[in-house]
Formats: sequence, C-alpha cells, structure tokens
Amino acid sequence: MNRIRKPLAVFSVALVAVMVMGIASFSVAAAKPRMAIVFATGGLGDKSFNDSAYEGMKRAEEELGIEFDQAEPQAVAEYESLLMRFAQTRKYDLIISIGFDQADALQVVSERFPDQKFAIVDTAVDAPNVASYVYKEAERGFVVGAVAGLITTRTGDPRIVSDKQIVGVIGGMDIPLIRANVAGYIAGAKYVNPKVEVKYAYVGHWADPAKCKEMANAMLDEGVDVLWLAAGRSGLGGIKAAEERNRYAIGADSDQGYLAPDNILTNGMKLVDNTVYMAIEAVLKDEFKPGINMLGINEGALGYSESLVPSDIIAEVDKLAAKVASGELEVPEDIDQVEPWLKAEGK
Amino acid sequence: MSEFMDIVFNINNLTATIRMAVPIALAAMGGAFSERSGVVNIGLEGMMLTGAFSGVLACQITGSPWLGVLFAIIGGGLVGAIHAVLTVGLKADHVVTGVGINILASGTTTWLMQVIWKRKGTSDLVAGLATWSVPGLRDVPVLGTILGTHSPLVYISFLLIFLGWVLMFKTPLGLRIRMTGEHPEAADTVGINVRAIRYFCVILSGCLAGLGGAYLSLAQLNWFSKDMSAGRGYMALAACIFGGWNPLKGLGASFLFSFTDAIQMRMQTSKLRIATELVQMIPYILTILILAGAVVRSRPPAALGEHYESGQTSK
Repeated sequence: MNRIRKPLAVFSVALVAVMVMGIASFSVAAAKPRMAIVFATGGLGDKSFNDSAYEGMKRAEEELGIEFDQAEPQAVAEYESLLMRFAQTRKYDLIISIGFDQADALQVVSERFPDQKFAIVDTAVDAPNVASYVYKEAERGFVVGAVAGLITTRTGDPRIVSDKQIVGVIGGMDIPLIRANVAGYIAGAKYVNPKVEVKYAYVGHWADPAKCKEMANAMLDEGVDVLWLAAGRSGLGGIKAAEERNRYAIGADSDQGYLAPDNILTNGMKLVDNTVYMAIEAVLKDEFKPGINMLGINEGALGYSESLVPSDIIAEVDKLAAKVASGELEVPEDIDQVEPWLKAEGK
Repeated sequence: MSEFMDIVFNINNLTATIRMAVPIALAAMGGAFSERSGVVNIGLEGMMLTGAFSGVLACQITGSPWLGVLFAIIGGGLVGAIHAVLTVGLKADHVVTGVGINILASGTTTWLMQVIWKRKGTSDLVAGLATWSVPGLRDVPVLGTILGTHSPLVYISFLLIFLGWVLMFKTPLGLRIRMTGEHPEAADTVGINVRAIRYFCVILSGCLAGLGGAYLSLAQLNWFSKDMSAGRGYMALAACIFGGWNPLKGLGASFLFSFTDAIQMRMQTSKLRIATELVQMIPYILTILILAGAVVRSRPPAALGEHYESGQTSK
C-alpha cells in the first residue's frame, strides 16, 4: 500500500527566541533506501561543512536513488535527542552524524540501538555499528603548504611583498586536529622550498574574526606573503586582513574565494560531500565497515582548489599530491616530526 | 631576552593595541555610567552584540556605514532600555537580568541572521567604514605609525571617552549620577529624580556598548558573525572595575588588556617557542592579578545593585 504523507514542517520558536528547534521533513514512499542526516550546529548555509554534506546527500539522492531526512540542531545538547528520534523510527538504513562534537551523543545512541547503522564524519566513535570517517588532516596541509612554498618565490607578483620567503598559518585552536594541519603545511612548504620560513599561531577561538584579523596583521607585519586560515569563522577576519594589505590568503574547508576574489590563492578543501556519498554507497553495496575509515587525497576527500594558483605550480603540486595519494610520501602529523621527516626525505 | 624585548617594544604592537582597545573601552565607559548610577550591568556583552548586528543590518539596508553606526547605537540603547525597565522599573535582580540579556541577544541575533540572510554563521558582506589618515599626524615618525591611520570611530571614541569623563566628574549631571549610586535616599531628598537618572545611565551604557559593537562589525570587519563580541563585554566590565568606574582610567585598563593580547599574538610566532597555552593565558593572568590587587583599593558605588523607591527610608 502506498500511503503518502505530505511533507510536514515542524518549526517551533522558543519563548526567549533563543532556540529555533530544527526543521525535519518527512516523506514516505515505497522501497527506496532511506538515510537520515544530523548536521553540525553551524547549520545549513555555512558555505562550508554542512552545505558540503548536504551536497553529498543531494548527489546520492539523484545518483543512488535514496531518500533522506535531515535535522539541523541549534546546540550540542540537541544532538542526542535528534539522533534518538531518527533511530527510534527504525526505518533508516543509515543515520549520518556530521561534525566532531556529535561523538558523545552518538556513543550513547549507538549503544541503545545496536541494530541501527550509523556513520560519523570528522571524528571516531568506537562502536560495532558506527563507521567513523576521519581525515588525514596533514595531507591537506601538505598540498596548500606546497602551493604557499612555491608562490612565495614569485617576487614579480604584487602580492608577494619581499624576497624573504615567509609564509604563515593561523589555526583556530591548539588541538591535535589543527596541529596536524599545521604540521602538514610546514612539511609541504619546506619540501618544495627548503629556504622558506613558516610562521604559525593559534587564535584560541573559533568565532572571533576581529581577533584573528589582528593576529593576521601581526604576521603580515613580519613579512608573511601567504597566510593559511584554518580557524573556522575566526579565519574570515584573517582573510580580510590579507585582502586589505593585498597579500595572499588560503581558505579552509570549502571554496572561500568569494570573500576576496583577488587574494584567495587556494583553499584547503575538505570534501565532505564525497565523504557522505561514500558512506551511503558503502551501505547500499552492503560494504558497511564499522571502525575508523581514514580518508585523504587518495579517497578524494581532501584536496586544494585551483583558484588563483599559476598553472605551473598546479602541475608541480598535483605531482606531489599523487605521491601522497599513492603512499609514496607519508606526511608527518606532528610539528616536532617535520624536521626529522624532511631530513629523511633528503630535503 | 633581546628577542623578548623586540616583541614587547614593537611599534606595531601599540597600533594593534589601539585597534583592539576601542570596543572594550567604549563598553567599559558604558559600564561606568550604569554602575555609577547604581545599576550593575553584566549585559554589556549582549548590548555590544546587538549593536554589531543592528549596525550591519542598517548598513545593508541603507548602504551607509554611518547610518549603520547610528542604528548600532540605537540598537544597543534599546537593549539597555530593556535592562533599565527590568532592573529600575520592575526591580529585578541586576545580575540575573544582565545574564538574561546576554543570552537573549545571542539567540535573537543568530535567529534574525537566519531569517534575514538565510545563513547561520555570518551575514553578507556590507560596505564598512574606510580608515582615516590624519594629515600631518601621519607623517610624524613614531606617533604617526601608532596614531596616524585608524578607523574614524577610533578618534570619535577617544573624544567620546574624554567627554564622558567631563560629564561624569565636571558637570552637575555627573554629580547627580554619582550621588544616585552612592546614596539614593540623599539624592531623592535634594530633589534628584533617581529613576530618571538610572534610566538615562543604563540606556546610555547600552548606546556606548552598541557603538563598540559597530566598531567590531563595521570598522574592523564588514559583516556580522555569530557571537562576534566573543567575551569583550566581560573584558569591558573588568576594565570598568579596574579603572575605578572612571571612563579615562577604563580606557587605560583597556589599553593594558589589549597590549598584553598584542604581545601574546606576536610571541606565538616568535622564535621563543613557549607553550601556546601559557602565552595565550598572559592577558587573563594579568587581568586576575590586577583585579585581585586593584579591587581591594577601588571601591564600588555604595548603592550598587540596590533597588530604590522614591520616598523609601533607609533599610
């Protein structure tokens, strides 16, 4: 029997106008595989993580013929109840959690529903029914670092201020995930250009663009030509600083070129869309793999955008990316390991 | 050690200090007015955030950053008015109301951003304020680098803070404000309208914090970002107390906080590789040390946080 319920939008605004609870739409049709996705608190429209995940869901809808329901939590505290709500219906082939801060909630819910398949992106949850998709962050740092290390020698470019060859990176917080990015960046820059000097610092905040702008200014004062901002919303302030002083900035997670079209050199891309698609495909092919699935350049989950990068540099960096993908180059994940690694590589 | 000295005595530090101190100093002056009249104002954070939001919204609609600044002041003032109605009019607890204001402002601005710009992280980019170069001053060697080129709001803020100090300590109205916070009964006896003074001061504090917000969203940046005040309202409250509820000293305190922050930023990228966590703590440790030392000596207004009904006899 084919009963069709009309899409139902639940939109509740709490008294203090603090919480817009989240929109869930339900539609039922026969026999198509059903997926559910719980986005991270940044929500749709972040032009980054969540939007990219949504793209992946849409692509799976078109190409793999699935249907999906979604939830947009406003606060970390809502993750558990939303995951629980999806799991209780017992009608989803896979429930996907986006973002590292869903780990605790998913740990609890996955234990209560041992027969439900879950996937989580950007962190690991240790449970027999959860497939964790984790990125080899250092690989992404490596490719944008290589771009930075090469472009800083192009003194004819007005955005390269001196022949001192200094590049920089600002991270959001001093945590292992960001440190791996920084380590990869340093390794990439020095691998292609032993003379380069790499400066790095951390904002200590994901959502303070004004402070990040000042930190970027401090680096630009010291002669940094190219600055990578791996600092969430704070990073936008750093991009603004680079734009005002006409230097190169490198974006993070998704293409941020629209913010400063003449100054965003490239972006360290995290292709969450490919990741989500991969997770769904695995379930459909009956290849669901619980445990940690490490994704990198080889899996098409990390990369860089060509944006303003000169074509000869693209050619060179692509060669390096291929070496990383094939496993020929294993990028160090810790800043202290970079120097010994470079020596071992003969640089 | 010489590396350390190079960081501390870098001229660019002072330029950065000025840029970072302005929003804190404005809100600190707001706090000083509110508290001098006897109303605790922990809601500066929310007022600043609302100002940042209103500024960007008005700028987007009108296309003029200066109208944006005006509406930031109005937006902050409106939130100040809510605080005033609740604390002065309805005699709610000042601290509880202030915390409520901060949560309300964070939720409302995030929600409205979603409704207006259909995004949750940041608004669209708007036309921000351009910087000013002061002719003459900008060519003076060291001073020109430090003071010569800034957003016009920097110079306006310095002027306002000086005028605020004059108003508070050199005018009859300032005397009435201080008397209201010290001894409302006495003020009432000599015919001062305690309620009116308190309403005025709390709304003024909202306007000033709102202007600080506009500085963040229209001068330093040109967009609104969720929770972009990022604790500056609380820093302002600390600067207000450390500055002895005096706008000029509050400015000095803001300079000190921002200066340590500027040093912290440079220290991270220097060759002195001290643990980042320790370096990032410097401004806060200094704040605690100073407050622990300073609060003993600085005395808050005697009737701070107390409600007063006209004609009420002493408790």
